[in-house]
Amino acid sequence: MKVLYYPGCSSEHLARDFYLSIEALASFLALELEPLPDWNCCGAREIEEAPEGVGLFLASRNLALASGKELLVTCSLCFHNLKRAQNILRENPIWRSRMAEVLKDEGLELSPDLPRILSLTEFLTRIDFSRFRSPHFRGFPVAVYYGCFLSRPYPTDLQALEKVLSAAGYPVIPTTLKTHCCGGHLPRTDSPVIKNLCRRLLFEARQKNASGLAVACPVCKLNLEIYGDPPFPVRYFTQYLGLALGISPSWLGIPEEE
Amino acid sequence: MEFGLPLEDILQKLAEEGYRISRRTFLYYVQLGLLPKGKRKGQKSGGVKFYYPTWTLERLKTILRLKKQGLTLKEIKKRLPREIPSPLPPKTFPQTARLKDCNVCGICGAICPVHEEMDLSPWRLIQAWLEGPDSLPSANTPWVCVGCYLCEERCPREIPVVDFLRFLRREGLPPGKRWRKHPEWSRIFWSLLEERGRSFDFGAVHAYHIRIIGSGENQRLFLRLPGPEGEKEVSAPSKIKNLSAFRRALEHAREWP
Repeated sequence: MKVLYYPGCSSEHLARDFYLSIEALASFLALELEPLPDWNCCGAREIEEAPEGVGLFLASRNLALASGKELLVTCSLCFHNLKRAQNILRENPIWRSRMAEVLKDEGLELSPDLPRILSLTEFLTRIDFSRFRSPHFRGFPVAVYYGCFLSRPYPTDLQALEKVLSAAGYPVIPTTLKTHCCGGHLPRTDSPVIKNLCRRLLFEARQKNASGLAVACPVCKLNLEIYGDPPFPVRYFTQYLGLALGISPSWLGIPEEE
Repeated sequence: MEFGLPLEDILQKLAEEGYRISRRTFLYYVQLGLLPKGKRKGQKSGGVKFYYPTWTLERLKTILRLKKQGLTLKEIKKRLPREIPSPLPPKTFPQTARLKDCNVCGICGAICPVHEEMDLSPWRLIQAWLEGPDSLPSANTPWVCVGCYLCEERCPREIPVVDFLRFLRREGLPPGKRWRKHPEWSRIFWSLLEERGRSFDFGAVHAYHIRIIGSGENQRLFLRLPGPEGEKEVSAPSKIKNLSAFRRALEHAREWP
């Protein structure tokens, strides 16, 4: 079954490695994943200062383009924005009719029951990774980190990362801070606050003898890499999954020297 | 400020312009429905003052002019626009009723991962807002909020804290109390979005310091990376297909408040 997915703007730059590893997994597992044709930006954090209609339009356009039953969203912030817009469209008939009117300008239409928005973490739990594990792969202990938008306010399955990674052969170390905040888009970048938050997350993983931290959000990974001190290996969970399946690191966006 | 002028100020302004009216007469006009009712507001020094919309002044002048012409109050009432012009509707937070549930436990401030950066805790802003929009102090809190929703998750009274801060950021605060986070990034973000339909998560790369040279097809973007890599050029995001229709729709979507 073909599944459309929304890569988001970060897939072209910051989270290029996330995107590469998802594509690699999809081709290895013969998943029929297809990027949403002609998708547009969801507005990231900037829509919070624009009129409500702008954020809703940016999300509605993507929802209208995804004519199917499901839309897979890989970036956490996009997931939050699309999910929020979908809730408003479902609950508020006024906004819904306004959006229908705006979308007409582009010849688009919202389907009566909007597509179900799926996070990548939940989607991958449908696959039994133990069947695809490479016989040469030796798992090492990893901790997982969901970040905010997969846990609140529209919670996804918060055992999903544990399920897929342990099926792929990694001993998953339980942590208490897996849904805590990494500092996100804190405006002041020289702030000690963001450094402390990131250090604390890595400290827990290190104290519990994890050899790496599996994350699902581009912003979290970026923050942990920039502010995490001392450095600790942080990878997208899809990169860890790819390694367990025996996919070459360069395909997964992992630099060779590591 | 919708309820801006206390009675004393109105009387003084009128006196300066040569109109004579006593406090008692003013209140009588209010009682007759010629003037709008005032809004009661507690004072720091103790006691209470009544505040009247600024347009009360113009209306009162009209009344006094008509009175000079020899009209009775009854006739004046008929002549004045029947509908008292409503002041600009104050920007209201649709869920204000839910804010009243706040029991000032302070958990929202304590659980907030970035509370050290905030001038004031969210609960203080909630209390100030309930006191009246004019009581809101100038604070960076709505702009510092990273939207992690920890406060909403932990709030014992299920108050929509993040939505409230979002509202303050978007429209709830007058221009003088607004705090621009990074106007330059905002501008670049929206211009890319309009030019290409896609943008760049500048929020996430604010740490990188973006540099942009040229515009349109010749636009070049540079990110300054922390660490030894230094500066790196990146390509602008790819374009969506029908940009003119997209822009039209985006403009259309801006219409609603």
